[in-house]
Amino acid sequence: MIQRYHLPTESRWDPFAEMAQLHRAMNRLFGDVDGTGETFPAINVYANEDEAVVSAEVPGVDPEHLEISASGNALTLSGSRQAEDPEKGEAFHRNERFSGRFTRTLELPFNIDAAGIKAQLRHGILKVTLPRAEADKPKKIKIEQ
Amino acid sequence: MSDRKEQQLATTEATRPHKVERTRSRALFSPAVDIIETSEKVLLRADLPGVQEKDIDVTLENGVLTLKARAEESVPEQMRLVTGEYVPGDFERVFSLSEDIDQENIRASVRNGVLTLDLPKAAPAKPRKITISSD
Repeated sequence: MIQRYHLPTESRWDPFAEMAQLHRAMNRLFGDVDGTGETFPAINVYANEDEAVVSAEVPGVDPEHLEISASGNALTLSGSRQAEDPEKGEAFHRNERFSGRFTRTLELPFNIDAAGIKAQLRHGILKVTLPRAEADKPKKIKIEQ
Repeated sequence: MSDRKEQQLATTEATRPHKVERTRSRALFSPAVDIIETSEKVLLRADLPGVQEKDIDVTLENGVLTLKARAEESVPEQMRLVTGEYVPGDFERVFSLSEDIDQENIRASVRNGVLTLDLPKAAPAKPRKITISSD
């Protein structure tokens, strides 16, 4: 089976990528208590100066079982994916899919405008758009002569 | 049906029948699956995040079940990838089914990026009684 892999980080030094990588390592260290070796859900974070997009692979998770919360520059995704309890006479031949509760917290490169967060779930992929807080945006200072 | 045969039913994963050249420059993944067997059927669930119903291709030929899916995920434009834990890609996995599956009545459905395949077991072949006529 091909395992999903991490994208190589950019060659130029990037403090945010570095931070994200550390975060990921911590998440994996503490999140992987079930021993499956996989973090659920897998997350990609895209960002520019004004906003960030967080996408997470959450196949089979109902919207009512998903919770998104943000404070400061941290975004928390939590929820659960139900596993069917095996009934009498049922046998599992393969049981590779994650089930149970999950919580993941990410740190974004800037503070989030919590009121402007948009989230959509399509075909098992959650996309959260997070605008940067106005107060956090760099101010251009005009020099008077 | 003997126990041994039941065990065999859905557990064998076929190797790729023949070498296939890929024409899409995308990553190809083997989806995570659950396979549950009851006395009446075999239930297969596969995680296919980002896959729409129309992009799933399930074929059954000579007892080999092939699952192919294309995921379309748009990457935000003019944005930098800060954290990357997954790569949007395609899925493929091949299973070997025993002849005990009622191949006419297989049902497939997709919900929230999860494919469910309902593979009913075929009724055991009825013993044919052969009457012997005598002169």
